[in-house]
Amino acid sequence: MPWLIAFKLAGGLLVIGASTALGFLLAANFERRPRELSELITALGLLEMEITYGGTPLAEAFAGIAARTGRPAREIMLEAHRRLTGGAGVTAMEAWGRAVDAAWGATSLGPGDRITLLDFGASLGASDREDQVKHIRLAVERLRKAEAEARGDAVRLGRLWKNLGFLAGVMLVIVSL
Amino acid sequence: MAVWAAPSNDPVLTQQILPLLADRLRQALSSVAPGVLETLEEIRVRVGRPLHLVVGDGEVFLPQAVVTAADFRATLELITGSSLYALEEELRNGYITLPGGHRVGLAGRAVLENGRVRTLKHLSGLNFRVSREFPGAATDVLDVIWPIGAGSSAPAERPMSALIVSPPRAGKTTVLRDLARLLSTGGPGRPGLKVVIVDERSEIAGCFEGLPQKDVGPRTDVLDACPKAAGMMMALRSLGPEVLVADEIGRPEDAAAIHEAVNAGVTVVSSAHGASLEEIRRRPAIREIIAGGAFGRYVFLGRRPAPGTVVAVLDGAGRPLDGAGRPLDGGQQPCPG
Repeated sequence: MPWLIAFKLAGGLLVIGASTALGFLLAANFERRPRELSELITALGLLEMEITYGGTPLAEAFAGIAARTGRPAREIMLEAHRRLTGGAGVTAMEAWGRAVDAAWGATSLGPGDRITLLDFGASLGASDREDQVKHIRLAVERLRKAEAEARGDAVRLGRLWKNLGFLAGVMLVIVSL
Repeated sequence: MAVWAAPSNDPVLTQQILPLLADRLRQALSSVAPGVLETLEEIRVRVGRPLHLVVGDGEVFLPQAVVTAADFRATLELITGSSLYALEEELRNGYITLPGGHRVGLAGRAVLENGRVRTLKHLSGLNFRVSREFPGAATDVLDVIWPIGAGSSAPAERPMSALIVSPPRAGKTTVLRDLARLLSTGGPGRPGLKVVIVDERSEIAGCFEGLPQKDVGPRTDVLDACPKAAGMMMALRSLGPEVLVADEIGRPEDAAAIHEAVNAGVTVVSSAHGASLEEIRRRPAIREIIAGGAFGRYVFLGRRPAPGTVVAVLDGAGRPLDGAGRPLDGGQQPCPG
């Protein structure tokens, strides 16, 4: 019955296509993380400049940096700026923490990255220039390490998930034949 | 004399001071009897100790509001806009000026550089000094330094230079501010004068980002955060003042600047900590100014019945005067204090 063969063939292709797409989707997640980490590193570098050379107030510095960075640093900075200037008596740590939480859902960052960012927030705003810079550098250092790791993951696991998606689809089709 | 109590829903407190305190401290403060807040002068926040209020005629501790490290940090962040790092000059000087001209004194550990204080670290104490305007607080002092009308002969063309002397918290700064306003505004028999305030500690005009937050009069310019001696010279050169106002003189270079101004025909009104002429004479710079005869009047203020009360007036030679500006008993009266 030729129509049955054609039907099975189409179904098989559909399964393979879907699982390959799933693999690519998971791989893309791994590829996004280093980009996001690099944006955060840039943003913190800018913050260090603002604090060291400009002596810019934190809320103002956040707004300025948001205009010069990409996702997710821009979203975090904007939200922290909004909360700090909202006039509700919010501390920098709270503003930063909530901003990180708000942006979190849309990122590909890992739980370790979140801890780095929140730890950094805890030091924000209540100490002198040297101390602020020390904490920024520490956070940047940790983010850089995570970025290097994430780049490795992106190559290795990215390829793995792409291949795995395709192969899993093929396997499903073979098994179901 | 103006009434020195503010209404209990005083916007100075509710809009300018309370929003800068950590939540818990703010709540504790709002539970205080309203009468206490009316004469609130200082709020002292010290880590590990109860909130301490200094009010018109005493003090109040709030034992239910022991300041935690978190309360302290939150308060510090609210005062500084979470940007302590941007306030190096303020940390060096030991205080921060708030919008509205209030001042927060800082206590902590000093970090030295070449024997001078570079900054403060590990802050553990804050002293909010509530700055309030009391229009009219200086009317008595004005009558002393610029007598017109009844009793006096031909009204003077301009006010005499004067030194306002009192112990801390007797209203020197408030009186200076109001005096600047009155002289600048002018009134019957007293034309408005060009006033320059050299406001080294940002207390008189309460400038925030260069703009006076207090009413200092329409003919008044302010050199904010400017060292007194340098500021007086700058003003003389470029701002054409008829009256120079500066508080808390006492450094050697102040004497030279005051002489310069007085000799240029400018009225100088300033203040000094102290209780009597004898006491302030012990400070070399002030002794020099007094000996040079720069001031035509020494006005002593007291806290009773209210801050800003004139308790004694001496003429330029140190002789006591009565309320109408006449010598008392031919100058036999001893100096107060």
